[in-house]
Amino acid sequence: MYLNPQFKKGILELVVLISVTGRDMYGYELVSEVSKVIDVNEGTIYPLLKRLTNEHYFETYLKESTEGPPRKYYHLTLSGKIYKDNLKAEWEQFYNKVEKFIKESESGDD
Amino acid sequence: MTKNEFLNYLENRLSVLNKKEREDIEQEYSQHIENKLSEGMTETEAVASLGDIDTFVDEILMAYNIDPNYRNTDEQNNILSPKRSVRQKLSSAFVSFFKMKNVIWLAKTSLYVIAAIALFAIGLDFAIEISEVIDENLPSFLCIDHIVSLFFLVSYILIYVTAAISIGYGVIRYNLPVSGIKSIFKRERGENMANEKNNTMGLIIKVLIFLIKLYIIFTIMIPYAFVLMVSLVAMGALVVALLAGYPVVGLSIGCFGFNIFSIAMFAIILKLIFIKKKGENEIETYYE
Repeated sequence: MYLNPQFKKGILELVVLISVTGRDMYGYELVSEVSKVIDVNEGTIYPLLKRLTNEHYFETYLKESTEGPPRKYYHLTLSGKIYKDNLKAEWEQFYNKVEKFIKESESGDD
Repeated sequence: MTKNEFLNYLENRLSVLNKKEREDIEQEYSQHIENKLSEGMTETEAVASLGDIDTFVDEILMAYNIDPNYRNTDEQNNILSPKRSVRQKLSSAFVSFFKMKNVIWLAKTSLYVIAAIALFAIGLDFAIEISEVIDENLPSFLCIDHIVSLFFLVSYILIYVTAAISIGYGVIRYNLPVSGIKSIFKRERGENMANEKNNTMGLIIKVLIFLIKLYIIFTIMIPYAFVLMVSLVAMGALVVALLAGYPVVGLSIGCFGFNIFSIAMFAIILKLIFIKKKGENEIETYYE
């Protein structure tokens, strides 16, 4: 799905946070998960994970995998969860406002 | 771009970060590429799927609050750069001279020189001792004049070699602003990692530094340790003598001072020469 890069940048963080909410994921898994929703350069997700980890919204731990070296799993911390909820609320509020605005302008056009 | 090229490029661009973080990031990306490979992609495709490298390197750096446009170039730091005025050069030379790394370098260099001189003195003393014992019994070609002059020659060579090596060592290790020598060893940021791995010059220098360290162990540290032990025993003996009523107060105080000095000196030499500074490459950038 094509998406304006400006939209993408803002929403990517929220999508990443929501993806990890249900269960802990390792980098590649997360990249595939996010790619389902947003068509994003896969390389750009790792810096985001790094930043969220540096800000203590994520915790990481290593876990053995059946193939290859151990994988680094990302776990959403409590502060990450709060941050995610705030971000989600902001997004919903913003989304509703924009939708309302679009509808109003459309009815105005008629 | 192959996987290795990609990882090398990443390593160069992230050279500001400390080693652990760098390895961590590289591991994530290499795992990603591995996963792509197991899905049947070629290396080139897998690397290409990550998108534009510079874009996400900038983002990684921003995640650490580092300005992605920051480059530790020669142009910025080289005080001999022709673009700067004489006054600027002088002032920055003055400031950079008092940077910690230069002070450490000076201390080290002088220690190497002192080590060489001390070796010379110990050897000379030894030669004189021997000359008193065996002078008469020697055949003429082994007469003490020859030995002493040979010893002088060897000692002077050692002093100069030690000084030269220690200066070279300082230049390389602490990146001193000597542009001529610097350009030979190409220590510009970005070329660091590649060079350190396969630079034979670097290897030779490492071996030489190792030999110098061995040389210092045998000429300074071991005699020093011996003298220190003897002086500690002497200290004990003097205290006993003092308690027994002998007039050795001054001698005891002197011996005590000598002990403290010896221990301090020993510790300084040990610290400066044998203990490797932790992650100095990574940390330097932050201090500058």
